[in-house]
Amino acid sequence: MRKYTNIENVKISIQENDFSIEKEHYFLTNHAPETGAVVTFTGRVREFSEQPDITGLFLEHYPSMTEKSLKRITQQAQQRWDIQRISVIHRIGSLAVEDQIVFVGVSSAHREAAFEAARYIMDYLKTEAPFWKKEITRSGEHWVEAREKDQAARAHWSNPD
Amino acid sequence: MIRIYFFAKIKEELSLDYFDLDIKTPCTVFEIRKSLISEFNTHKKLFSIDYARCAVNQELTDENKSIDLNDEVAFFPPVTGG
Repeated sequence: MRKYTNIENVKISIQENDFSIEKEHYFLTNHAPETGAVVTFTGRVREFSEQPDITGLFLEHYPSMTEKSLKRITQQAQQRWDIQRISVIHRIGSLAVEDQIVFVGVSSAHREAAFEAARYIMDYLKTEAPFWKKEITRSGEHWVEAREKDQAARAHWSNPD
Repeated sequence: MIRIYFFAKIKEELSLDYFDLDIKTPCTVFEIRKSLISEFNTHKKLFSIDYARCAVNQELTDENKSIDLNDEVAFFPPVTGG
């Protein structure tokens, strides 16, 4: 049986451009007869967040740290679950309402590992990866505040199973 | 002297991408935080322990972490990606 290495089976991308869910699904499943489950999550820019009348977002990041942080999160997921491939994409720069912002896809033999690992990666991405959102509204701009709810979601994973 | 990088709201409110802090090394993250608070006294809330996170060599770290001359140090708001 083929043994996957971490390098070839984890794809991390920080990009201004949009992404294709179909292409990521292909990356997760091509030539993978041992894959029985694929879970994907896509985050989008919502119309209502902290304030009404949002027209878009600006995403800033810490270039030298971002990929390192995402790599570490995916490695932690690989240690915790028996998963096969991972794709993480995060967009930066200017985004409009209804644009896609983030993608996490995980493949595994059985659904449980893929479901859990995808959620774990998103929960850690939201609380550790160095991205910051600024909301652009018709009346001005403001930096989005971090939410307690996201910290709680991550804390859930540090409890013993 | 250590160069401290800033991001997002901290960068914007100080209008600085980085600041060269005059501090003896090695020192701790906590000592750097205290120096930043006195240096930017009118913006001290930006560096409060409840707000600003610190990364050393691109990894989130705690207040006791020891910092030396060649380390890359950054202070930034709680992250809000995803």
